[in-house]
Amino acid sequence: MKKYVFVLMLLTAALLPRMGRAQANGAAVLANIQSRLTWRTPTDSVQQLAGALDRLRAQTPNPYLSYWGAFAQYHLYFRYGKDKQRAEAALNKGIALLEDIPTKNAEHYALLSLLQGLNLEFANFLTIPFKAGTVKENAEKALTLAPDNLRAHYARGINDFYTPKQYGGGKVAAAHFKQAIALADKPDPNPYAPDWGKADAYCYLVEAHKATGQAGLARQYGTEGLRKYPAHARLKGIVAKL
Amino acid sequence: MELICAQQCLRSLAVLCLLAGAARAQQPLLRGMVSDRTTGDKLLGATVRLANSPGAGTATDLDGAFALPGPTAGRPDTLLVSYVGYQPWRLPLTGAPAGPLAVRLTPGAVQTLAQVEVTAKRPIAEDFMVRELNFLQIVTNPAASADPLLAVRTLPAATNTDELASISLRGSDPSQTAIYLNNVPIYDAVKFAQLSGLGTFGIFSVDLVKSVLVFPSNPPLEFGNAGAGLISLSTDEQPRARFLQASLGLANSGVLAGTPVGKRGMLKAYVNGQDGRLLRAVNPASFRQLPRLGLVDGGVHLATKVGEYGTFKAFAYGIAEQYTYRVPNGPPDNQYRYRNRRGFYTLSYEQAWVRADFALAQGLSLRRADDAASNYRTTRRGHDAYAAAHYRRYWTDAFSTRVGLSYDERRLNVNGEFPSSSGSADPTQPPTYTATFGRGRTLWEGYQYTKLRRGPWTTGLGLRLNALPRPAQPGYRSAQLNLRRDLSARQFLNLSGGQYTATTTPEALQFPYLRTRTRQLALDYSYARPGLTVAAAVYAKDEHSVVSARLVGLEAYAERSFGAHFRADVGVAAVRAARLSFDAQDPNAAALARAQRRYNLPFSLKTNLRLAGKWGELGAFAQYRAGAPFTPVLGATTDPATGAVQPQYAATPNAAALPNYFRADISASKFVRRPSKAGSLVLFAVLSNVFNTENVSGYTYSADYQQATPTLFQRRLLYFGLVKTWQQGQ
Repeated sequence: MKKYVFVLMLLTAALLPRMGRAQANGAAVLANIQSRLTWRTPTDSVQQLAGALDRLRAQTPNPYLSYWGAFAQYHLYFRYGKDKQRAEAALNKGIALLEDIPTKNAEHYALLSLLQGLNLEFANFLTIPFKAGTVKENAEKALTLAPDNLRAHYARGINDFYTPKQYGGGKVAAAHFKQAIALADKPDPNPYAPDWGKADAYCYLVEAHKATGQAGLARQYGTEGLRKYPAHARLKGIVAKL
Repeated sequence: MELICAQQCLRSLAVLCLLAGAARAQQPLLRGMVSDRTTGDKLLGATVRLANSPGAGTATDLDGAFALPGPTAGRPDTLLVSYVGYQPWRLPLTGAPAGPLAVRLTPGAVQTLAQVEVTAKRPIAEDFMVRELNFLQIVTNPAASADPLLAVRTLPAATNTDELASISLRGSDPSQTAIYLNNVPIYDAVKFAQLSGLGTFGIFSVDLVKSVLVFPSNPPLEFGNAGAGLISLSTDEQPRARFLQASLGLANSGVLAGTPVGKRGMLKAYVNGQDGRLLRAVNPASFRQLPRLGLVDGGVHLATKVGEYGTFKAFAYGIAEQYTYRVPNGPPDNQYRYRNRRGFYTLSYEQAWVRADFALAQGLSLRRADDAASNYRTTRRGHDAYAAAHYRRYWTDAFSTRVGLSYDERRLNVNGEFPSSSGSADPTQPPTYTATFGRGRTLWEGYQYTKLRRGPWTTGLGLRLNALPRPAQPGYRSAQLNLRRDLSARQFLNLSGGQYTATTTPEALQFPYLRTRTRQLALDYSYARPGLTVAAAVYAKDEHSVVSARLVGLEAYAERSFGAHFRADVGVAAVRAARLSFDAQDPNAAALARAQRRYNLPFSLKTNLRLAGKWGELGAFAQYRAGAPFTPVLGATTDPATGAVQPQYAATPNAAALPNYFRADISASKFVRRPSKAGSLVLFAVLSNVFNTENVSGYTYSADYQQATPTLFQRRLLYFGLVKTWQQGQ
């Protein structure tokens, strides 16, 4: 009898830490997630994080896990570069994750708009007008839900920036990027809420002014952005070319 | 030395612990657990913060647990817990809670204006709707020919036993399917229409349509005059850059132009022409019975935002069409000629507020149709007028009521020359008579529809009444109950039932407008996740008019996407319709029973495939179903007084069945865009009835009714064309 009790105790001892570790892993995946998903994060780390989020979401579906999973796919799209097949798969997965959230907030719509905008590259000709409308619609939904959200302004700005002039683009991009850089990084005190986007908004604000021939303004915002984000490689590159 | 260091460290640690303890004494730690009130699920990531410290907060972990420093002793504060999709939770704090807090959040998003605006444009019963078709689903379906109504016909809920754009929903006659455009009913919304109102194509241009909502059963009661189901189309209001689009095709050619109006409006206008000569030259076998056909139609659509959350839409449409049908078994000049001219407009205005929305709709339609065959000819003039007002109030986010009043008038006047005997439509037997018939109906109706969401349940209750009963239009009522149970975020069950009233125009002139009372019950299941949709339904109906019908049916549907390039769907359906019942002593009722279709479909299988790539797009659609019931002619009798030959029908109408039906269509298209230009060119080709299957649609008989000749549905048909678009800035 004692032997069985001993074996049982051993099994319990062996299993409990695993369960605890699963929980702890879950918490660890989300802890400081924003700082672990940046442009400087190596591709394999983004992939590992995306995998961990997938596994956790399979156990406990949750809008935050979906959001960060989609954000990881957003990063992976850029990492995959010329491997168009993987890049498209990353976008499709990110879009599916966000579309699956039953009640979306401004953060979800903003990221969804960005992913869908990138995905137009792979759209079939019949789907382009329809999908382009959805991209804009989602950016506008994000703005309506949270007019003080920098990523909502960023998404609407990106949508306008990449919309050809003959389709009505290039009109409001600079204004939205300008608003984005003036807003708080993170209006939501939730530690799992995102705070990315401002440095990117600086990049595009410079690009938008450059595109309209306003070199002075481009330089001004570029310098201001570099002062705040001196390590941002893309911003450095853009300013260097001014 | 080491000991001293260790002692100092320990002392420092002790001081730190004491300080921390003191701080905790002043600022107690709030602990708790956040869960879903309905399901009990622990919520990960809920935001927990104090009202006086908006910038500081925490989030719940995987177990829904949180720990947050409480307010400083003596300073009252409020604990706030929020989570997307749930109502926020508040707890005033005057002291430290005795133990861990159990926070149970109630599902239900707080409405925003954006949501309200979107909701205001949709029927209140949209939770109970089963299918929505968008632009893409319409244009990529080879059997739809870019026609919104033909796209609906490819759904399993469409139980058509013909190839028309007039939609039979779940075993009911197409006349029982209401079609609304921007909240205005459009009667006989088809081109190449027959006298019965049934037609080959829908009149709606896919370039104007934003979405098509299909209620295959239990039409929402905010729309009147619908017995079986409802198709609600709304036009697109999104502004875009100025453009011009020209299409040139074997079947259809036209021009569509659009230009922004002001900052938030869009005007589109189009005109299409269809001349059957080219189509007939390429497909002579398919047009043996149609020596002549052609039409011209066009429309103008204006949509603009009014204020921040208002939308105004106006649409005007006109059509002139004609065709000549060579009657089989008759002399070569025995032709039926039909010409139709029609115009209508619709106006709609929608305004949303945070807790309410308001809508106005108005429409007017005028038509004139002339038809002739041998010694028969008629001219039919008619008009439809409609006006309605709707108001919806959200008592809470989950509880709303919509009320409304509508006026719906239809008038039809027929004058013409008719053969004296129905059996002697022959020029050699000339006696004819001229006559004028007039009929009409006016429906004043009021309704209320109340909807309540509570947890996974959504309940809707509607009542619609004849608001102004008169001897010509005695009182009637329609009522509806909808129950939806969300099984998860992706799947739900929907049970809907009710009694509905629809007044329709029978083809036979001797009948006034017929009122049909339909009782129906339907249970629908739906599961949807990205890339996969599964739906199933069982239903029962009892339709009562001069002729009564009962039926039960079931259907199942699955749609699967394999990546972005391949999509497949398959739908199966079966309808068991009892034989029509009517007063056998009433010859008019018997004639109506023979004319009315019986939708007995032991099986129906539809499948649709789509393959897309950079090389272009391929689509395929196939349908295989049981043959439609029909009433055979068994022989003929001669009236000794007039000498007219009268057909002798089988005693039970629609008791025989036509041969089974099979048809497959394929389409191919290619998009061409020159890199330096923003315009585009689309090349397309469609091959209908690929295997040239001889599907029997019915039989025509020789003058003495001794010889029956099968009439066939569409034979193999090829058409192709191109669509060229120029955008502003080119």
